[in-house]
Amino acid sequence: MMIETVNLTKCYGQLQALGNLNLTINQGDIFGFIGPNGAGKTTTMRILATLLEPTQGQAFVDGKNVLTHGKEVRRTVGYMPDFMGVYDDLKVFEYLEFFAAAFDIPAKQRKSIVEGVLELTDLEGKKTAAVDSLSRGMQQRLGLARVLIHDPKVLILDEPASGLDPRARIEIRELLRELKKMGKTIMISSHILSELEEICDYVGIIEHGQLVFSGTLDEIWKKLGTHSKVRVTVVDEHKAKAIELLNAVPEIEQVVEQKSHLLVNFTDGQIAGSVVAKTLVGGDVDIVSIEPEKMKLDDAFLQLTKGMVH
Amino acid sequence: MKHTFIDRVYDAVTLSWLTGPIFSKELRISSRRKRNYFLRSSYLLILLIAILLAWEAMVHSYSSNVVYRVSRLSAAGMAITGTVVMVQFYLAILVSVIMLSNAISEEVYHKTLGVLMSTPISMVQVIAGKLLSKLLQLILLVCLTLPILGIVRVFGGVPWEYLIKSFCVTLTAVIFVGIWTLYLSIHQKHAYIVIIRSILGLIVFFFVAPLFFGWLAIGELNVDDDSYLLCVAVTNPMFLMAMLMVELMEPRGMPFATNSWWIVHCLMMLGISTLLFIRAVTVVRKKALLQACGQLDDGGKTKRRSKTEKLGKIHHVKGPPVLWKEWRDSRLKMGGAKRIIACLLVTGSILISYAIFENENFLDDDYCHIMYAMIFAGLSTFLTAIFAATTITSEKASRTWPALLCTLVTDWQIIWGKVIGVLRRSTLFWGILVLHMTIFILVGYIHPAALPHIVMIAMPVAFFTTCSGVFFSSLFKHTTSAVVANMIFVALLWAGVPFFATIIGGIFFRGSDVLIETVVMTNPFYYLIEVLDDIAGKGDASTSWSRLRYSWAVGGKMNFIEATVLLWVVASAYIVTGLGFLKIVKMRLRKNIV
Repeated sequence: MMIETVNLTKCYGQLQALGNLNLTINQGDIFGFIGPNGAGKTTTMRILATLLEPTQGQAFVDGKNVLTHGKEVRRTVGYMPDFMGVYDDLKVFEYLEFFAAAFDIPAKQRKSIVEGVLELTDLEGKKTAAVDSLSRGMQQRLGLARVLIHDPKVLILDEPASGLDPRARIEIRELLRELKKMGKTIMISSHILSELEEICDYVGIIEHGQLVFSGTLDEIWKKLGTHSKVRVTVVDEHKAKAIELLNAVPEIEQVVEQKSHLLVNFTDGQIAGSVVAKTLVGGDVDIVSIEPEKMKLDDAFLQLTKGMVH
Repeated sequence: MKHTFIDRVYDAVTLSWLTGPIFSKELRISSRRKRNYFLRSSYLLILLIAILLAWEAMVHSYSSNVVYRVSRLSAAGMAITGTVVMVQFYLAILVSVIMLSNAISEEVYHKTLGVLMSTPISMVQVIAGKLLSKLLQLILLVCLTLPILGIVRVFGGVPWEYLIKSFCVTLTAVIFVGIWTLYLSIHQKHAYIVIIRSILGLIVFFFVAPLFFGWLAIGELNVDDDSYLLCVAVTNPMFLMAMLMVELMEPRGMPFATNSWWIVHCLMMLGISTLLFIRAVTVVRKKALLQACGQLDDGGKTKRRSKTEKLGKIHHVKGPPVLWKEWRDSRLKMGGAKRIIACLLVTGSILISYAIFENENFLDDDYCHIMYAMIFAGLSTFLTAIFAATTITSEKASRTWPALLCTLVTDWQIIWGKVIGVLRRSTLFWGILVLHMTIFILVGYIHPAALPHIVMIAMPVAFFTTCSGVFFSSLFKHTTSAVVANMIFVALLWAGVPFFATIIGGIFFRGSDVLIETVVMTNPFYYLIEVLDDIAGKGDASTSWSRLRYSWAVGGKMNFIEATVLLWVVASAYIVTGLGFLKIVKMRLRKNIV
């Protein structure tokens, strides 16, 4: 287990930002952290990055307590805040070298390490550019380069793709996949849920400082029952016959006719596809396609959260 | 929507045609900002102290005889009025600089300037709205003293004419300084840099330029002294106010009569202000257009082209990273050419002043060097206070603070890196004081013993001011708040406390100076004055080391060794207090991270 929080609670005066949050992230996973604005994502990430002290509870990174072993945790974690600040009047290379020095990397190794992360983040051509002259996308990449400079085991990325154009977002996504291959554990928050869906192994949904759900995407679909829906498309002439046949099957709860297809609800999702196929083939219905009904993460998010924010 | 006749009349009366909705928005925001209340309270407090001081000096301290006091009322009236008017004049200028230091940069930084461009609000309304909303608050402050001055006038001796003249000169000066600061805020996002530049600009306009032209006109072109002074009075509100004060207190000492010249001055200041206003409107319009088109970066600068991005050499990090970064940070954000011009201006002004004073045979006088030392030390303290107060808040503002705190750099490395960086930047300014001393020691106008003593006075002042600045920087979120707090703290400590001590001593310790004497013995500026008073000047400069005598307010006369020990004790006290500030900074460094 790389990240663990136990009854993590954080209060700002009267306001409770986190309430007994229990979270676990395994080594090498990409964990998507989702929640409405003000749900407590950034607070959780800041506690894990040793920037905030929890009011109650404990948080561990790589088995080390963030409160008592701050320095070791900082060595393990690379934290990229939601808004990346840059120093005026520093060049890209100098900026990264500064953070390399701040992470106690010996002077002799700094040059090669900085060049390595510049190559990884595709910023080699910008190494003499002033950091404050970079575009937003470039600055986000530079932020990623910065968190990689000390080769941390854990990356905590708060909205790394916010405000980026589609190309830059795809590039960041590819970079994260690359980092996963390198064995990094990544905790990432984003409002662009479709992107998280593509790269995350696990997802945590937080609302009002409470973890509403945590698990794999498959577990979400199971919880929401999306596996028990099948989308069936048959030739138009056989549509009525297909409805009649399917309604007669005891495992099928309901058949809903939609514009171009039929939506079949099952009591047991495991057997759905085969039952439909057998029934329709046996009834001599010409099938165009049978596919499980896909639910998007956005829809799952809407169903699991109630839109409660602070 | 059509405007009715009544709407138009209302607009004309309330000046909303000139200011638009910006004016009311600014007034609304002002009422919600704590620092405005703090500024106003400080303004009134300082005025109150000035009145009490003038009263104490002119009436209370002379005698307990009621008849005698009544006979002094007319002189007290003049002194109180003159003091209030002068203090108010400088305070109003300072407050207007602070209030308008982020007038436009705030809009640029929050990216609302481009948004304003897409509304029917004109740029004239933006500038006028910003300017008038701040000036209105200031004018109300200035007007607050009118009833006091009216009451004081009953004592006699103060003509109405003086009040009207000084009020008009103050008003036009405040308008000019306000527009000047607003204009500077278009080009710079950091309010504290605007404050420094605005004050330096005013020093150049109203102190350095008159000195230079005076040297040129009187010394080189043989222009008549009185004619030149009249020219300065017409163009320089500071000088005109000083002349009005002389006219009030000692009419015979006037080199010329102000007559209607003050009207010419006021009209001229308004004319220059109008030109600056027009220029500000043009520049802001350009900025707004650039921002609306996405051509302006977060700092309000035009986005650089890729060619310029690639210029320059990479400087590799050496030693502790925070110290390396702070060491190379100039903080004044001046480019190479501007820096050279600034250095030339400063050096030129100092040399010209030397030439003028040499001509007047004043350079061998101890008071001349006290004056120089106070100016150099005052300015250096002022700049050190500003640099120190920006150290942590600027990281918070640029959002680099969390990134830095996530590294392995320890809290003490960060704090000491910041402190040493500030000391390094301010060394240049303190160096001018030391250089001045060295030159005149070599010339033979100051005793060599002054040099180690001046260093022993300057060092703890710089360190203490830096530590208090870093403390305020860790306390506040905004740079301007930290800068203003540190400046006020330093001013109160070394100027305010002695004033208070004088008043309290005068009231409660009649006939005894024990309180003020004790207070000044903790004040490094007092030691600066005393050291130079005792061992500077042509007569004292050649005294042998064993015969050197320092007379302090407490402890009587001391020789060089005793004086050195005393200065070490005072310096140590300031250094220990400074370390105390740093300890507090360490405790709260990781609190309230943005």
